[in-house]
Amino acid sequence: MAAAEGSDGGKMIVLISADGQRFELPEAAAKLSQIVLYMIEDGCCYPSIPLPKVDGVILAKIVEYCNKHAALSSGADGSSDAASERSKERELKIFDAEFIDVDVTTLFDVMMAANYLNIKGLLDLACQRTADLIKGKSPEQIRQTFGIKNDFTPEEEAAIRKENAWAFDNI
Amino acid sequence: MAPTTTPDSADDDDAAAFDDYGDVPFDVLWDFLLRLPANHLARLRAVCRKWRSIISDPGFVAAHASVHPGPLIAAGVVVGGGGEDGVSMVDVRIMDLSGNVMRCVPGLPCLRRMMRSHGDVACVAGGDSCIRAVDLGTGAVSVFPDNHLHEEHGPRRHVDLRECSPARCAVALVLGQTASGEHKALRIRHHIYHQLVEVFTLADGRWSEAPGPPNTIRTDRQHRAVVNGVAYFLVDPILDVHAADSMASFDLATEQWSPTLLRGPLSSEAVTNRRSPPWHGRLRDVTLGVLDGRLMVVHHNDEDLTLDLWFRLDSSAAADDDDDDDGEARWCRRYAIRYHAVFQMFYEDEVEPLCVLDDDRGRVVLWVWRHGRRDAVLRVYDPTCDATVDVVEIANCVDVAVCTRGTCRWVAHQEALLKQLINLSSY
Repeated sequence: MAAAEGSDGGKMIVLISADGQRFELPEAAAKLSQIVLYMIEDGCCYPSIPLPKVDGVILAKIVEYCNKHAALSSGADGSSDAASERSKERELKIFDAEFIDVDVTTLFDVMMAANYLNIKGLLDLACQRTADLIKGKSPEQIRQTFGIKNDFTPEEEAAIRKENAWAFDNI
Repeated sequence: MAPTTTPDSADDDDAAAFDDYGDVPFDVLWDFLLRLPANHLARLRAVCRKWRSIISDPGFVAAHASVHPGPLIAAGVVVGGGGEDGVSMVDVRIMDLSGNVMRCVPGLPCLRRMMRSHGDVACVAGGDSCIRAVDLGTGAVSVFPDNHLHEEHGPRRHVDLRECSPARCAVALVLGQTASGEHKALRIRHHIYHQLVEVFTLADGRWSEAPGPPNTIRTDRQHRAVVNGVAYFLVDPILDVHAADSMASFDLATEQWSPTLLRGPLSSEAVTNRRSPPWHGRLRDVTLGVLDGRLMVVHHNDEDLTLDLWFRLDSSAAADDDDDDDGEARWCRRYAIRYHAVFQMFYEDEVEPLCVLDDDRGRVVLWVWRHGRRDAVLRVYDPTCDATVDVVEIANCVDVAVCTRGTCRWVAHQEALLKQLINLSSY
């Protein structure tokens, strides 16, 4: 497929997930990923960009994120007065909050994909969400939440807890 | 891309330990741990080896400090004791401006609430004739025996802190740092009509004697301040009426008093905004402090019902005449904060401005004492909207100060965890 034209006349980029699903999105949205941006600049984005490390379910989410952010980023529709800027910002904030309110496994996959595709805003969002999930949890709860195996010996763990005893108050 | 632990390397020890978040690439893990406040990090060291290795990494510690800027507050909190002997157990807590405790040095014996913090080192005077200097960054405690004078000059010169009531023999300990970074503590004892000054150098644990102050000075914590290697003390306005609104200054490097007194903003001719408010000589009306690296005089302006923060201007900026040498410092009133914004309860009776935040709103962090300096609340004043926000309340507090983020030169033990230390002086 040659360079496709979107409805607004912009170029469209096609991404292929690990399980072979096709996602078409405007170039402006695809460029949010540094990796994709470099490929576009190098001219190796046609007919499509294969992303063997990201599966379809997650890539669908990523595409949703990029579309929304590209559409709402400043100047996209020519109006850039302060009031509309603020309302866009608010809309993005609400979108982000809903977007990232997912289960731990999905959050993990989104974070990995954002890291792989190098989408800074999304990586920040996912990292912040993960950080929020960790706050106020004991090490044991964190291991359960994230499926991490405790590789300390009981003596080592006791020593660490003793050393940081004050940090374990109130949990 | 980061070096990713792939499932293929599952027979590798590290990878086998995790099944989900275990294979987070190092830099992603680094990234989200970086977003957590330090008080959470301490707990997360116990999650697994990989997390512990990142959190203990000096590079991570440095990155974390730059991601979470802003001042840290060190507060001494009484957690036990306080019996007949006057010795209580004090925890020194380091908090950020959200009230998160980032580090805690527990259980220091402290005699009669004699503990003070300043800068990046802490000293606590215990009931056992020892002064403990705490590196709050690492939690390392150095103990210095306080009996040098006793040994060298005979028992007459030695004052056992346990035996002297505050009324008979007030003792003040002031800690500061010279321009070359040397930490020195000043101990000032009131002895009948004299004030005896001893200098304690933390680097070598040496006590030496210094001359007494030129005038009788106030040594309580709200009437003294240490800035840029010079300790300033308010001249006692009751004992020395002619020198009211003046400060005596002691150079920590030369260990000498300045021969001239520094005029305060309430009587100085060299104030930037000319209106010079009256001072009735009441001690509670004027306190000293350090804000933004400058000597500050806090005036309780009962006429306007404002807390006026006067800053001493750079002597270099006022170099046209020898201001410093004739004691005519230049002062500028930078804040006039309404009493109502500062004191919100009738039992809030004293305030110490701790620092100005570096956020173009010029917010001021206030430490408001309650119940006669027992409890306290950390309050942030925003001059752009003339309002305050309470951050955290602390019961049974003995001392507070802003920590500077530096490295302690006198403690050999360096754990490279958090790089903030505390100075502390007691009285």
